[in-house]
Amino acid sequence: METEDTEELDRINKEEILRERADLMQVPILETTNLGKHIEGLFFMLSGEKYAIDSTSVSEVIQISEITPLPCTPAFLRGIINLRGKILSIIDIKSFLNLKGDRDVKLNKVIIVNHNDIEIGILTDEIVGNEKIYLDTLQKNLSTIIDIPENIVVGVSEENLIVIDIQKLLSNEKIIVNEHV
Amino acid sequence: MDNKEEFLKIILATFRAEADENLNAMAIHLIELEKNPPKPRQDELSEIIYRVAHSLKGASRSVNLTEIESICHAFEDVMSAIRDGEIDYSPQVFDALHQTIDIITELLDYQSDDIGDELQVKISEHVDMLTMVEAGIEIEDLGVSRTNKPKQPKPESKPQSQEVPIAQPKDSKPVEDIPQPKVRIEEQQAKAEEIKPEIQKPKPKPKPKPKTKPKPGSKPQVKNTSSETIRISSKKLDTVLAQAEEMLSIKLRAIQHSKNLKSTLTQFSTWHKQSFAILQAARNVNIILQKKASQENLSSDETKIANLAQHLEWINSFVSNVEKELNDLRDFSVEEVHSISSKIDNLLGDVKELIAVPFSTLSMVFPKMVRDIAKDLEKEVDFIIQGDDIRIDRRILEKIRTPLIHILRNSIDYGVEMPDVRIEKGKDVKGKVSLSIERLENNKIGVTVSDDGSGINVDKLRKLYIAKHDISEEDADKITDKECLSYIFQSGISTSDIVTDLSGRGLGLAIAQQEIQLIGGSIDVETVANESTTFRIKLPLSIVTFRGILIEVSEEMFVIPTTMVERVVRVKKETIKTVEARATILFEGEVVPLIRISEILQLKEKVDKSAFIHVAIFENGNKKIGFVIDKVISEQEVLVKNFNKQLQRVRNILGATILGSGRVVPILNISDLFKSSNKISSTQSTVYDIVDSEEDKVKSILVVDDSITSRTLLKNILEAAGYNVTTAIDGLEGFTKLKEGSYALVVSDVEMPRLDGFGLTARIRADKEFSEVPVILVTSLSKREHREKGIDAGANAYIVKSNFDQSNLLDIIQRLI
Repeated sequence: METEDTEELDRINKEEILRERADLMQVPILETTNLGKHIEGLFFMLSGEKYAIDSTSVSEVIQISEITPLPCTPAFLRGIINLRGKILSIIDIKSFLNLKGDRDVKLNKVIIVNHNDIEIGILTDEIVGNEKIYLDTLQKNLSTIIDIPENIVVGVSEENLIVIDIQKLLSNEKIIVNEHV
Repeated sequence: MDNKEEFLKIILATFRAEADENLNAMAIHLIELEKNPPKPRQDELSEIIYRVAHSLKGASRSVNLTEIESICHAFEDVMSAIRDGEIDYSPQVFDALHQTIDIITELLDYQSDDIGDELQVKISEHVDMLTMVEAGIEIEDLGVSRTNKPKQPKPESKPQSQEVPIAQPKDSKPVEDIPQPKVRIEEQQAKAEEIKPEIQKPKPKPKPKPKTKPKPGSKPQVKNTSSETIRISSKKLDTVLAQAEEMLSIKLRAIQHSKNLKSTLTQFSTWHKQSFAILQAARNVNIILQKKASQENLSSDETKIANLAQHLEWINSFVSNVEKELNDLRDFSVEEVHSISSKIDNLLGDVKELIAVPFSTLSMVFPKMVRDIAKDLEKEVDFIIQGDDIRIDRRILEKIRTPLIHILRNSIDYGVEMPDVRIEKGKDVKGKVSLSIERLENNKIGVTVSDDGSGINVDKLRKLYIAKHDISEEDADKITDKECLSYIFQSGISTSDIVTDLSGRGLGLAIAQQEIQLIGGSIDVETVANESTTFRIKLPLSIVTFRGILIEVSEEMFVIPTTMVERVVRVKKETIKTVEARATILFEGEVVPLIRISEILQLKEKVDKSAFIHVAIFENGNKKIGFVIDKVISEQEVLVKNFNKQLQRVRNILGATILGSGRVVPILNISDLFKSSNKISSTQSTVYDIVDSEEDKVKSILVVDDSITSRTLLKNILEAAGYNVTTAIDGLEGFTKLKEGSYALVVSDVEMPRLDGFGLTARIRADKEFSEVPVILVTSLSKREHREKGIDAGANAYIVKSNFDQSNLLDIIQRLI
């Protein structure tokens, strides 16, 4: 008798659970259709801030152990590294965007991105995965909040994820170092 | 001459292939642009088309195909007007652009240099039309074309496929046989006569596409017969080169390993020496004890000694074994270095050979260029080239191109006089300009450009130099002619009174020098008034390696090219003299100014207490400067790596190299350092300051104590001993004052309100900037645990007030600072 009861209960529970799950699964599908354009985002942390970039511009992710600082360059240029015989510069996005915050960065992974023949490494503390980002869900009008060179930030999500447009970043003339004495 | 003709053929074939590619790219992108893509893509496309047209223009100029050059130029103007938003995309614009491609294609089909008059007319008319388009002038019959046009962008792909058959027969004709093009010209000519209808006819844009497409197909057939070569993009070659260069760092690393092994092994000889006597003694002890053991029982101490002696014997054999193994390892490593080195050197040599081309690939366009320039200036010039068969790294040749053109122009424009002047001077009417290339030792080549013209006006340069530098008349006399001459390489300097199209803006030579130095070359100039001017350029045969000195400045490593360093000297600080508020030293009887590299590079100053400084003396353009560095690490072979595109130019830094350890080290740009030091020395030289502060300056001490009595007492003692004293009433105030001023040492009480002495010490130690400042704690807490707490916090000394006497405190201070 008891076993039958529990079986019966189980059956009801299971049904309920399944229905609940079905309901749960239904919602996101409906939402996604409404969310519009998306990109495949690569997420990373940098001095306490979470960023994402479109993974289509990423050529690889490498581990680094040291960066050679380069004197007489802007603060956002953390230094240079050796990538298979090529010299690659490492950019601190936070500094480039004039975002305030602590300066200490662990030497960890570098995301290598490429656009228009300009190849740079983006400094990160940690890569935290990849996920779709629905562009319409982002808050776009940021000029009032922070002083950011034009359009480099695609938007900021509710969770304070900062989405960066790598192509705009690499096309921005501020990123090019060309200084004479 | 035969060689030259052969060469011309090769060059022209190469040009054709390149032009085909360019035209194809232009057509494809134009078509895409016509489809009205989203704005960013539009910008991208027009940029690409502009760039391709630009490079085609450059290429055609270099092979003297002026017609194509002029068309491309007009085309480029239209594209740049589009890019800058001066004119809108309109069917008319697209027509004109597509037509351009057609005309260039047609021109390319001509096998002979001689272009028919008809085509000539057509070209000039077309250029005119492009100019109108650029100016935004609408061509009358455009009404027709407009109505025609809008249909086309939409059903893009359809008309294309429909019209291909129409275009094809037309297109295949010229390829089939030579007479055919003439027919085509007549056709075109007929069109040209009535320009308006003509604009509409070629309008169907699909046309250019099929036209350019079959070309690349038909061309290779022609080329295949000539030689077995393949075209590889220089980008790919560069990647291969970068990786081959990377092998060099493996070689360097292997050499370093081998060296390390050798030096480890030399330590064994010390060990042998040291242990030999002891081992002998131990053996003797062992023999004695064994003898004794055979007769009687050993005492426990004796047994221990025997064990010790035996253990020593064991250690000896163990270490000897290790030594043997290390020896084997070293032998192996030496062998490995040999085989790696030869293989890598071969590989690198071959790869370098891949990108080495004869100098003539660059110089063969010069005769025409020189003639044209001379003609423009109404001068007569004999141009001679020697030694242009010498092969050189393609990258160097590319870099030297602009500088050489600048210099040649200078020679014709400034050097060679007008014919009548030459006759007056009793010279040959024809000026002589020569370019000679020769191999120098040390894998360098020398390129000399000389003319027999009027020479450089040194007095004029002197005047300019003096005016710019604000130099008094007496000093002006001290400036040598050589110094004035080297001033010609400064930007903005021109002895020409008029700015011409060709030169006179005073930029050419500055740019030339910079470009040459960037590839590790040098340039000098000599002149004899009314006789000659000679520019001597020294270039490395290849960019790959050079000797560099690895130095350390403010704990960072840098490389300086060995050739730029006159000498590295150790200088006693006392011998530094101040001349006109600048620190200088005497080097080989010459007064040489001193500059700290760390200051130029904006690095943190390292406090150096030794009585000596290291100075690297550089020479650049007849001027010497001593740069203060921390130390020299080594001299070695380094390979220059250019920066990536993001780092187009960095102040004071030329590039970077990768050490055997894999570490990246920046290479300093010596000519930049010279320029930077001019800026710094005009304010003040800090070398002098440092000498001052190290040797003579009164040192400042911060006294932190909450009791006014103790504070005053300490202040008096220290001031009497010649120190500058500032006081603070507790740890917090002390820390704030420390940050505001610059103190050599802190003397602090322990028990204080707000922040005590331990806390203050801990804060100082935790602070990056002040962690090195010595701290002395003075207190009545005499217990051992207090003392330990003080040491734990990082205090340098702990003085208990009960045994506190002046001399003790002053002794300690003196020891600490």
